[in-house]
Amino acid sequence: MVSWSFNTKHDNDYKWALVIDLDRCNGCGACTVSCQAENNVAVVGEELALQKRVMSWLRIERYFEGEWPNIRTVFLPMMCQQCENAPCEPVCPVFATYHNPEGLNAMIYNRCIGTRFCGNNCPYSVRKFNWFDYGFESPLNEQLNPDVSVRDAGVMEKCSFCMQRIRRGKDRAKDEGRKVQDGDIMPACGQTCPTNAITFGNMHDPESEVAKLIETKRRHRLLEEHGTHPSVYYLKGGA
Amino acid sequence: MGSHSEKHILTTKFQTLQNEGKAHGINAGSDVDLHMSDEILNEKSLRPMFRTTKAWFVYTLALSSLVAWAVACWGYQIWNGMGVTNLKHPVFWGMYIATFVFWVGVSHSGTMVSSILRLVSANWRRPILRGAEAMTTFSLLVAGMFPLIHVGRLWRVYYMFPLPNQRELWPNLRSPLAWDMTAITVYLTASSLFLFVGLLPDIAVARDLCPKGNWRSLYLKILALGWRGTHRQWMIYEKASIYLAIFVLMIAPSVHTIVSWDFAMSITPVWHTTIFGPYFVVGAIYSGVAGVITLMILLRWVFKLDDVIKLVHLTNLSKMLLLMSIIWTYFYFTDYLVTWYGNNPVEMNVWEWQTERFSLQLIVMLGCSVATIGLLSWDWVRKSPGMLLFITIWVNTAMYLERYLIVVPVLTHRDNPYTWTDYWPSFIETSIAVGAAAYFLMLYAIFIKLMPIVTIADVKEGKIITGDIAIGNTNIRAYGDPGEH
Amino acid sequence: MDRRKFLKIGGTVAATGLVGSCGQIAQKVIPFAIPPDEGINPVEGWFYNTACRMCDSGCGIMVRVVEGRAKKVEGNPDHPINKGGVCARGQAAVQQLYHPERLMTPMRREGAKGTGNLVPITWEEAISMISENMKNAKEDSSFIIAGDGSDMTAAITARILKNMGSDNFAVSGFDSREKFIEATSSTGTPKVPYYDIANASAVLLLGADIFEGGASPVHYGWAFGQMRRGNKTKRGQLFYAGPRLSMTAASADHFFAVKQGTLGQFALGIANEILHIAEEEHLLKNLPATKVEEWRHAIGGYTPEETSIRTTVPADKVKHLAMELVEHLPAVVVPGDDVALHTNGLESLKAVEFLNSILRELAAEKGLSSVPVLPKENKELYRAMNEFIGVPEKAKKYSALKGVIGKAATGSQRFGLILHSNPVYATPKALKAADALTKVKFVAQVTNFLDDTSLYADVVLPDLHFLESWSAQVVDFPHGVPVFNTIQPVVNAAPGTMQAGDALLKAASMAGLGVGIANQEVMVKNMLIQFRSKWNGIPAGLNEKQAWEALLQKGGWWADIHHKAEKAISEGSAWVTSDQLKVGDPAFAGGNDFTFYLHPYSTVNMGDGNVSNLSWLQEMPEPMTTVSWGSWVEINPKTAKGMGVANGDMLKVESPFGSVEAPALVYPGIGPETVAVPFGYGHVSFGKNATARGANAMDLLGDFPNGNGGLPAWRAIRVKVTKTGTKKDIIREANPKGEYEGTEIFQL
Repeated sequence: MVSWSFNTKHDNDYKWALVIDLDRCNGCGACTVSCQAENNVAVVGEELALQKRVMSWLRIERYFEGEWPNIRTVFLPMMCQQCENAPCEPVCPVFATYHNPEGLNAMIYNRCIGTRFCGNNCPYSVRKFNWFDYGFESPLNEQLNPDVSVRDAGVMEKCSFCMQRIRRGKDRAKDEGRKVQDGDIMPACGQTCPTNAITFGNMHDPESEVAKLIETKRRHRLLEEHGTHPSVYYLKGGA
Repeated sequence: MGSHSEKHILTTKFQTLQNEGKAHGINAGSDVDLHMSDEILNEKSLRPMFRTTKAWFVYTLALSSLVAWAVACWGYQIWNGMGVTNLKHPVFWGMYIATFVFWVGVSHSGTMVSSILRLVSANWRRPILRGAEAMTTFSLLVAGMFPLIHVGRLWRVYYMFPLPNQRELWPNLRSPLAWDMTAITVYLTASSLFLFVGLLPDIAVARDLCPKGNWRSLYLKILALGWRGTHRQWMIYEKASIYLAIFVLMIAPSVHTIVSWDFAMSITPVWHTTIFGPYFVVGAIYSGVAGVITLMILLRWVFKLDDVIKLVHLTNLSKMLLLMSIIWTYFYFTDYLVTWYGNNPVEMNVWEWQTERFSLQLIVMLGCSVATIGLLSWDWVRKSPGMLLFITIWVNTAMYLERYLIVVPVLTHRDNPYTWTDYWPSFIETSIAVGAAAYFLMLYAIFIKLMPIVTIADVKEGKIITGDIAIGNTNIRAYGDPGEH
Repeated sequence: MDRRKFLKIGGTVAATGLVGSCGQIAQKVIPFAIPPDEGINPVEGWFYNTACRMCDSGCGIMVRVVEGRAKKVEGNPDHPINKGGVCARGQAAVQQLYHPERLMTPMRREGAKGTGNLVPITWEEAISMISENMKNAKEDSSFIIAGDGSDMTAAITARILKNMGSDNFAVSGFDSREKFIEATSSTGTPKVPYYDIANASAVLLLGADIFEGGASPVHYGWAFGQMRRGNKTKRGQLFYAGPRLSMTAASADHFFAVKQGTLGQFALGIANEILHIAEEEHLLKNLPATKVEEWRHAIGGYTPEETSIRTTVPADKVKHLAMELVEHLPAVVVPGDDVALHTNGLESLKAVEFLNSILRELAAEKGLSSVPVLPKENKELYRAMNEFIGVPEKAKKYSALKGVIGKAATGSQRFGLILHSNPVYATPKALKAADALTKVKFVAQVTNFLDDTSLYADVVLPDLHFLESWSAQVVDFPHGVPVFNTIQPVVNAAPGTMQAGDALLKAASMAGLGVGIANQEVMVKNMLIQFRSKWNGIPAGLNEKQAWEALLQKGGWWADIHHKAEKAISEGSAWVTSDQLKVGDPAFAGGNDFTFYLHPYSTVNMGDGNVSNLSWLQEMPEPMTTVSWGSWVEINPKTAKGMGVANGDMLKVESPFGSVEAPALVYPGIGPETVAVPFGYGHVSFGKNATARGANAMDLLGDFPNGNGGLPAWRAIRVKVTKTGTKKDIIREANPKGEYEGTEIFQL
């Protein structure tokens, strides 16, 4: 059974989806540092962190319920939900953010002029803006990933489902004359996750891990009432 | 003409006509001093332009230094990045956008006073047209700067304009910001044209009465475009004024509706409501009218134009202000009633936060509604320039706060509760906002020295149209000369 | 103007406007920019297998290298410890490699110790200085403090130390696994038990923060994922009992707030209840009935009610927990720092091991296994590999570290070597490590960064980063299998740098104390030669070079795990005797005016503070408090309100041993009488990111009381908390009100 997708055509070969199992996530935060390493996300320092200008694309939102000693904690890894009906896309006056045929919401950094309307319109507040030119002190710049641009001051950025890895996976598949198979591509967050809470794959492939997980009872998406149709599915924790 | 007794009869007759006119509900030009001669009118109207006191220089210099400081701050911001403001995640819009919307709102002053009053032939509009239209144009100039100030990469802002390029790239016309750009450009063009066309006869007066050797004579001669006051020129002038008035009247609400759609078209909780269109337009007119009143009071006082811009003008404007206040309060109430009834948890959270953090601003804003409606219902308040000044300044402060309270609270307390934060403007932002206001006042001050600030032609027309007499359903225009002094 | 005219003109104008905008509407508005999904041409790069050395868990990693630069650390999916995962600290290894403050030249002290006046010298000078002092050290007057006792540098230096006539080798690091060794030494189960969480149906963590630190957060993270959802038919349950809601506890299905120091009694209470249930349901049939009777008699006093009084867990919850464990087998109980680091720590560990044995027996009855079985030859191999490394077992105990520092303090030591360790920072101030080092005649430090200990060193040698090094590691932790990690350089070292181990070898041979090894790489090769035949998986037909390649490509060698239901009591082994089933009440340091319990703990991003200079880890919010770039004191919300303390108020926390100052953090996850302070902050000298940032929780600790089998009783310290009157901005990612709204808004 092909999973339902909103804007991406049903007959499109690929529609990428991310499934996060909240029953497995223990909040360790390895994914956030992995994302930072993979995507050349800048460090802002203490003063700017105090001003809520941390650039991390992925964050673990930790929520509480109740009071001592009956406290329930939920760890919610939050990144760009790659909405099918993305509210950030129509409001950019220069088309710096657009919907690609495989269901992702992609950023063209050098087109962005920094009006920041997209950031306002995101109900998940996952978009980040480069308030300054942060820079990478030498020799830390030796670590920069050559597959990902380093962003200028004045542009917006956000999680891209590791677009560069998707490209690499598709390149490899093309070289070998086949389609991308399940498990070929894994974004940085999922690859490092010790508990294997993150699964990534092609929702249009009925045999893929994500397609099967999306059909389970625990499946949940965030803020569905906004009609954004996110591509990130969460599997609710608990028995 | 005629003996004293004749004059007396004529004046008395005129008085009767006036009273009769009033009885028929026609505004018979009592707001123009019929006994003021043309020479005196010209002299009074042109004095602000030709006679410059030291005070003016001090005032303008002070304003220019504020503007220069603001420009320096802007330069600093461009060099270092938007981080010099207090904006953060997820508060991406702050004081700049609030100020932008406020100035677009103020720009509705000219529209209301000039276009609407012109079209309904309200005679009492006459002396204030110029001041109002100038306000519109200059406030639009100021408003138009703020999108440039708030953009992250100013040097690439031309991406937003439909300029031909070899990559065949086009701006995204689905974005309210693209509509903004169009709307404000159109409005600015239209209102500048409107201002200029209306200025033509007055420039001619100034050109003719310009003291020999005055440095203004050159540009006055050029800009008057050879106005001679011929019948044909007056006919064209009348027609053009009316068409432009209609045009501007239609653009103005659309402009502010489009600016309101910057918010209403987003899915942000408090913003996504259909009432924003009319609400913003009404708020704009409200703030525009208040602005006109403020400026007129100040002009009267500074340039001693008490008998040209008379108390009756202020009184009538304040009646308009009362009306707008009632309508605005109604819209505000509607917006909040509906939101409260809907009980959306996110919006309720924003309110709770708003009352906690912005309680003072809420009191000033809502208190203004109460005060305006309460006070302006009293006759003596409407007749007191001092009270009117106080009220209108309060109105504009309240309207600025209203914009701020629309933009900021919800962004600090959005859907995602993990990211809730706080925001207050930084020194740079405040400097630039204050500098923009100073820029507006500075432009206005310079304009007073370059062009006549009173619509001389219209006032004279008002003098001539002493009383339209209604006979049945027809208005007979009276082109009599009421008599010399 | 009348209405009609107005409408006519208005209509015309409007229509004109509309007409103008109609016409050729663009069919498709295509952004003719090159979008990223067509414009990116990713580079392939190389992946090299090595092992991560950010802590001593020994996870296997693959490092992506592009054009000779290490770009990214990924996990080796075949490695039995981390199974392809990497924690936050592991990811930050590349920041360590390319850190602007990395020490590149040897340094020599100038001026008094403690002033930090260091001048660069050449390698020749450094080596000859070290050599001289090695020569002059007499019997028993030299020592080594090493951060890790299981790698090649440790092996080399252990041999050199032996040649110097000393066995004062101490492994620092307080996440020692000696507690397990001690606890199980009398029960006959494997010396260092493996807690097989992955296959368990119920796991009870007793103050064991296994996802955050300790032995192997990544391995236990993997195991947790398996336990929860790795099995299609069952979902494992996690229970946590302890005095604080840690990150690990936050994942538990049920949390039990237990009074400090009473977890051992809690375990006995559960065990008692289980024995009760066992009697009712006729379980434990394979055990001799007399034994069971003996136990019931010994722990009969730990009724649920009695347990409840001692531990503050309600009696019905104790009963319920016992029932859950019996019903969901295999069940595993993991003891952590809250069990071990108390005055009754050793007894408590034994009590927990007893409980585990009962649960293993119950599982075995059902044919379920909860512990992997190491073939005997693997146990032997493991022992042999450890022996090759040559660091004595006793060196890995806290008592060894104390002993070494104590000896140094007497002034008898003439040569001290500190290997990738920061004892001046990471030991309680009460141990006075700094003073001790001042009294040592010559201190040499091997490190990647100048730190607090460098202030007291005579010579500081820069080591290559582990991503540039040849080394190996016999992983010392019970993942159920012996693991041998090979560590190879993934990038070339900068010119002018040298492997510190090789430098020490040179110095030793110059001093006539040579150990006959050329360098670390050769030593690893020697291990291959020695153990190759025992390492199944490396084909016999390969020649030496090929075998070496195969080994490096795999990343090392490890045995396979087998699961087999086993009888919990191996034939002839000694069960814990009844007189050992006694857990005394805990005692605490600090009299009546020390009104709070202190809970010092390691966070997942700072660990023991050896990574505090990495900006990624400083900026990463600690998962439970979401604080970054600074330390804090956690205080219960009700207590805070009562004391008039708000977030950011600077608090002075004072123990009988010392005091620290840090901003308050109102945290719902601790009891009203506890305050928690994280380790990893408060460096005196450790680079731009870490110096003078936060408070060093070690300053509050001391060794009270002695007699816990050598384990420090660091959770048995009480403190007073006072407001200083100043405030400091505390950087939290979470909004303090918003963090309670998320479950409703997101419907989780």
